[in-house]
Amino acid sequence: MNIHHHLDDATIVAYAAGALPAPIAMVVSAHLSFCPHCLARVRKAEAIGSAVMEDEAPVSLSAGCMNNLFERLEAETRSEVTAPALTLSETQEESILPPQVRKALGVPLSEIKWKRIAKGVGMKMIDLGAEDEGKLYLMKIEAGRVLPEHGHGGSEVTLVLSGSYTDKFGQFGPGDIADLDDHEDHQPIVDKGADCICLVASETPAKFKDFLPRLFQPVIGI
Amino acid sequence: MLEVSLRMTRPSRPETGPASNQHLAHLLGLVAENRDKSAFAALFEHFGPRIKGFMMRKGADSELAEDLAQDTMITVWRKAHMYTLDKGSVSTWIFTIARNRRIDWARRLKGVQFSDITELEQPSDDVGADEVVLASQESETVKAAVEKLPADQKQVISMAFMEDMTQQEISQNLGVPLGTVKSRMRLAYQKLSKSLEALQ
Ligand SMILES: [Zn+2]
Repeated sequence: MNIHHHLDDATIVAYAAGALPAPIAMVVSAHLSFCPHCLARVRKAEAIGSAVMEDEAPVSLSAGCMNNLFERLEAETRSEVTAPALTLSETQEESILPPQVRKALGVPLSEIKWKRIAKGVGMKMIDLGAEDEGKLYLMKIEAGRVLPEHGHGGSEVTLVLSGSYTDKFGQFGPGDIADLDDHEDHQPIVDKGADCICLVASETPAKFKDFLPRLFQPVIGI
Repeated sequence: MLEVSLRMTRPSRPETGPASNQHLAHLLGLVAENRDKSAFAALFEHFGPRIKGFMMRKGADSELAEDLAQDTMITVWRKAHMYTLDKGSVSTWIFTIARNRRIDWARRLKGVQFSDITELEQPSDDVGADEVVLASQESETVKAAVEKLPADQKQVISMAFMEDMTQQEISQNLGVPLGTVKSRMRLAYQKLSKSLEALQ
């Protein structure tokens, strides 16, 4: 995979700190499964984090703690033997979804019921049980379609899974992530030849309780 | 509150001492390959009290802190075969798992666990040799470099790693724009990662 657009350093730090809203963490993690370059940067940030975290003074364990651990380990090793291996059918189409996304989505890509939110634009929300932290969704946009110019209310990241689009920041193809600062307006145009499927996450801005992706507020009239 | 005496008795970690990364990696290897329980117990003796201290610093009481330390070690048992040197030191790897266990507990997402999102099931990261962080000295080096950061950068690093605050929360807490939080994080990361690169 030839990746040109990577994660912002600030996102790398927040991800390694476990301090990203869950939907954004999911898109970042999906990019990392394609991108050894960003994964190496995350490892560095984790090294920074553990140096900060392990600076805490150790606290002695209670007398029974080791025993409890080994009781739990017994239960764990019993289930190791009995747990059936997880099998996922790996069709060509499925392989564009990293496993953690596939698991959260719950249905194969081919069986998604896309919700039409504008002409040539389908959307599929993915429920992480983290509505208060933000939204995670897949978007499928028709080849050649021009999206309305828009900005983003809070942090938003977009990972291209298939197809490509172009905006003023360049061309975004499979594996590329748009991790942009909030206030920049842009107008993506999906490249001709193939539909574009993206995984998008947005953080719920502090000031909005009920949040819809701002991109489509004018389109769906909310 | 943590007692001063604990800080005084904190074992040092000389490079060739019993808790060197090499030794810890050896123990972890025994757990991965032989499912060696005495090696596992030795790892818990080393990391258990440290993870407990970390959890208590984050507001857990003693019982919960031990519970989360055990959770962490059960994950270590389960994933031991995935540790490779390119994931950094054993300590970094285990503390990252501990952090995930804490977040799983703190967030209690209704759908997936936070660690399902972030713990990638990859046996090896497959990073180039030039990007591998030298494990043995990294923690001391990073700590020294964190101390040298300008106060505003040190503050966002500590708020993210120690207080688990999102960028948005840091921005609200400090009363500065989100963009300012991000640029402080960027600058801090760039400086700290340079100090890690200097080890290579
Ligand atoms: Zn990348």
